[in-house]
Amino acid sequence: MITDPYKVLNVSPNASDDEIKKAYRELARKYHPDHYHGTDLEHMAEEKMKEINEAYAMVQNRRKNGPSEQQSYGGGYSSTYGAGRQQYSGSANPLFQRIRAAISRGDLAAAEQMLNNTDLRTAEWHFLMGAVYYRRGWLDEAAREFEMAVGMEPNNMEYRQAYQHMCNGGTAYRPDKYGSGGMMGCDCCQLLCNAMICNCCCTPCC
Amino acid sequence: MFGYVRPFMDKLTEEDRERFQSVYCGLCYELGSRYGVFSRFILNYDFTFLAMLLSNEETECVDFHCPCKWFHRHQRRDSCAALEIAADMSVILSYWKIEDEIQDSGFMRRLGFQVLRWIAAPSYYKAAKKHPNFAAVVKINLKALRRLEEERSASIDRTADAFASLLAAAAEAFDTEEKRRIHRQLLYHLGRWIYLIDALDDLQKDVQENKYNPLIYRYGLENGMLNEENQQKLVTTLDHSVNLVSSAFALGSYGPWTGVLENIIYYGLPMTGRLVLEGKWKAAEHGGICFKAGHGIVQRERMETHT
Repeated sequence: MITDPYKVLNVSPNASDDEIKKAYRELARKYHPDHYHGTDLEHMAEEKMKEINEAYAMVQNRRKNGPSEQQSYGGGYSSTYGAGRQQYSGSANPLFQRIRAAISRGDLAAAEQMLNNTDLRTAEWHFLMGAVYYRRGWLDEAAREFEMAVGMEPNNMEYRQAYQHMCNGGTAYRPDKYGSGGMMGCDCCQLLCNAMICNCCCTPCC
Repeated sequence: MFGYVRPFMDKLTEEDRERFQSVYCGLCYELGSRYGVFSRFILNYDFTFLAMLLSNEETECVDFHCPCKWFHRHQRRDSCAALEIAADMSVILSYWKIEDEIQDSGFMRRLGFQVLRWIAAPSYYKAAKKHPNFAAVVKINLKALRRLEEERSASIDRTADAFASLLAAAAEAFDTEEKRRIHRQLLYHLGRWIYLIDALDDLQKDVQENKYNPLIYRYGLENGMLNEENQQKLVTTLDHSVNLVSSAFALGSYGPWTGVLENIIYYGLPMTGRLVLEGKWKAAEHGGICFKAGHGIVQRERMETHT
C-alpha cells in the first residue's frame, strides 16, 4: 500500500503535471520489463513497475478529483508500461511444460536435469536450454542455443525474440546524461580514442 | 584482482572525485591498520567499487598522511563496515591468488610466491575467520577454474563462471535479501566482465607464451587475432554483461555514492573495454591517460591535444 505516491515517483507534491509525467516515464523506462526478462530480478522489477503505476494513477486521481477520492486508482497504466514480453509461452509437450515451469521458479538444476535426460533435440529443447543458460548468466552459451533454435524453426517468434535480444547485447536503463551505451558506442570512448590517436601531443605522466 | 573497474575522472564532479578518492584512501588505510603494511599492496579499484556498493551512508572524512606521498595530506573515509568488508574480502581473494600462482609457476617464481604466502597467511586466517563462507567459495571456485584451464575449456562462460560466482558470493555481505539478490546479479556479471576483459587483455601474451586463454579455444584463434565477426560476438557478450550489471544497479539505491557508481558503470566499464580491445589499455598507463593510484581514468592531456 502506497502512503506517499509523490515519494514513489521522486517528485515534490507541488510539481506540475508535466513534471510528474516526465518523472513517471523516466521510472517506467528504468524498470522496463525488457531489461529483466529471464533473470532472477524479473519479479522485483515487476513489483517496482506496479508500484510506480499505482503511484502515478493515485496522483492523477487526486489531482482530478481532489484528495478525498482516492479509491479508484490502478489498472489503466499498468497496461501502458507494465506489459512487457510474455512469460514463457505454452508448450504442446508436457515435459517441456514442466521444464518451463522449473525455469520460471528459478529451479535451474531441475530444468537442466530434465533437459539432459531427454533425447528430444527439437528447436524448443535448444530454446529452453538457452533460457537455463541465460538465467545462470552464461550469455555466450545461451546465444548459441537460441541461434540453434531459430535455425531449426525460423518462424517461431519466441525463439527469434530471444535470439535478437542476445544479438543486441541485451538492454538496460541508462540515464540520458550518460549518452549512448556499449563498448563501441560510448561517447567518452570516442573522445578518448580521438585523443589517443594524437599521442605526439601527449607527454608522459606519472 | 585486476583493477579494471574505474571511474572516468573527467566526467566526475569535483565533489564526487573527492568522494571516490576518500574511499580509495579509506580502503588503503583500512588494509594497513587491520592487516599491516604489506596488505596495502593489494589495494585496488575493484574493491573500492565494492566498498561503495556496500556503503549505506557517508561516514565522516578524516585527514591523514598517505605513506606514498607523505607531504600531501589526504582525506580518507573513516573506518566503517563497508570498508572493513571490502578489506577482508580483498585479503581473502589475494591469498588464494597467491596459492594459485604457487601451483602455476616455475621454480624461482614459486619460491617468491611461497614467501608471499608466508607473509599473507596471518592476515588471511584473520579475514577467513570473519567470512568463512566467502573464503570457502573463493577456494572452491579458483580450484574449479584451475581444472577448466587444465582441460583447455572452450567455453568462455564456464571459465568466467568460476570467477563471476566467486565475486557474486560477496553479495552475501548485504543486509537484506532484496539487496543480496540485486547484488548477486550485479557482481556476477561484473565478475564475468572482469574475467573476459582480462582474458582479452592477455590474449597476445598468452598466445606467445603458449598459455591457456579461453578466447583462443572459444574462437579457434591461431595467431591470437580475432576476426571481425568474432570480435563483434565478444563485444556483444561483454556489453550484455554490462547491461545486466546496469539493470541490477537500477534496482538498488546508493545515496551519496550514486554519481560515482553511475560513472563507473556507464562510462568506466565501456571505456576500459574499448581500450583493452584496441590494445591501448597497458600503453595508456604511460601515455595520454593517467591511471595513477586513486585517480581513476584521468585524461590528462586532452586539453593539450585540443589546443
